[in-house]
This record gives sequence, structure tokens and C-alpha cells, in this order.
Amino acid sequence: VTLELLAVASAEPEELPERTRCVRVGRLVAVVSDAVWGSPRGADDLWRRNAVVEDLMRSVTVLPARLGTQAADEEELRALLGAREDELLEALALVRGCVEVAVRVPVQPPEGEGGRAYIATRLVARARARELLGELEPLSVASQARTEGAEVRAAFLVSDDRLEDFRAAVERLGDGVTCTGPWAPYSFAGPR
Amino acid sequence: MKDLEHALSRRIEADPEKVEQGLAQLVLTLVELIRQIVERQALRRVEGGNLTDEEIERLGTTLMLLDERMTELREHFGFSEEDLNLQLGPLGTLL
Repeated sequence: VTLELLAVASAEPEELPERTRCVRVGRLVAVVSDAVWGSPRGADDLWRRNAVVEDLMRSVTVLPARLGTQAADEEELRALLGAREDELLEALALVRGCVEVAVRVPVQPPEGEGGRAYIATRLVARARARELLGELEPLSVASQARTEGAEVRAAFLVSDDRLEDFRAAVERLGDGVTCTGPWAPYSFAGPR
Repeated sequence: MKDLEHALSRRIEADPEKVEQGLAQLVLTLVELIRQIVERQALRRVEGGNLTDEEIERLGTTLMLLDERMTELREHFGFSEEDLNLQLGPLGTLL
């Protein structure tokens, strides 16, 4: 039997989602499933996991586990998490009372092709990423941004009580900037 | 270094059937890391403004080809960009 780790929580949740159980590891609570969730993995699996994580978030602080984090048994799970107890506790403290908001900004590639255009696109994307972080970082607890092709993808950890301010700031950034969430803190659950 | 170790170790599966896939992911993650560092340095040089047009064109073409090759390899092994993203804890996501 393989255990699949779904999330690491700060405490036992008031209500456990279906087909999950808790394993205590020191000061951490691992929420696991005894069956591996769906194989091959598709979009349905991801949404199902996301629903579990969101259920948990109603009563406790959680770090969603990376997809496919498995252990052979409870002993292995304890070893896996026990070795990183301190840093997971730190990550839990960081995300407490916060949600993740994803922001995407399209980058208009400059005219032309070839090497110069490639570099120009990269430079524009970098500038856009810096601009985005400049505007939104002050409203967030943590952030990360990267450029992917002609798009800047950023994730911000936003405190619940600043969510509205954050959304308003995103709107001020103008056309083409999209914002999704609130999500569980997927981008801030590391180092995983 | 501790963070790097964790970032890497989580990628290696205990299941023997998945070892090969895990190893490919580890290797590609490191190659991608190096590619990104090289690209970042190159962009800094361009921003510094000391390169001729011809040098920029050559540098850009090289970077573009590297990027394309990396995408091909990544897709060949069925990884997403996220899969090859190295988390370095307090340093944040490097890529």
C-alpha cells in the first residue's frame, strides 16, 4: 500500500475530507490518502485534490503537497516530513492567514525575428516582471515571478485582509493583466 | 546547500520503475538551471550596452536555439516547465 501525501497542516482539521486521514509527525499533521489518487493523472485529479486542500483550509493552515508525493508507509512518511519539520513549520507560519493569487501579464513581443528579436522579447518580459513586482510586492507577504515565453507569470501570497486592495491594484495595472485565486499557497509551500 | 539537497531529493522517487524518470528530471532541472543562468548573464551584458549589433544577433540566436532544444527535451520526457523549476527556499524560485 502506498500513502499519498495531500497536504501538511498546522493542526488536525475540524472535518476530514472523504478518503483522507491524518498522520501526526511531531508538530505537523500530514493529511494523507491510502490510495494513490487516480492514474494517469488528469485535470480531474488536480481539481479533486484542490477541493480537498480547500476543505482543509477552512479550519487549519495548510501547505499543499507536491503532486505525487508518496511514501511506502507511515514510517517512511514520518522520516520524510520529520527531517524537515522546522522548515515546514516556518512555511506554515509564512502562509498563515494568507492565500495565493496568480497574476499573468502578456508581453508584447517586439517586431522582427531572429536573435535580436529573441533578446528584445526577453528584455521586455524582464522589464514587465520588475514593473509588476514593484506594484504588487508591497501588498503581498511573499512573491515570485518568472517569464514564460511571451508572458510573465507571478504568484503572490496575500493576507486575507488585503485581498481587496490587492485586486484593486491588479485592476489598475490595466488591460490584459489577469488574476486568479484565491488559491491554496501552492507556490509557497516549499522548499518541498 | 541544505535547501538545494532538499530541492533535489524530493525529485527522486523511491519506486524503481520511476527512477529513470526521476533521474531524467534531475538532469534536465540542472541543465535548465544552467541555461537560465547563462541567459540571465547574457541579457545583463546586452543591457550593459557594450555589445555590437552583430554580437547581439549571434548571442540571441544561440540563446533562442538553446531555449528550443530545452523545450524539445522537456516535452520528450513529458515534463512541464514547473517540473524543472528548482525551489531554493529563502532564495526563492531561481528560474
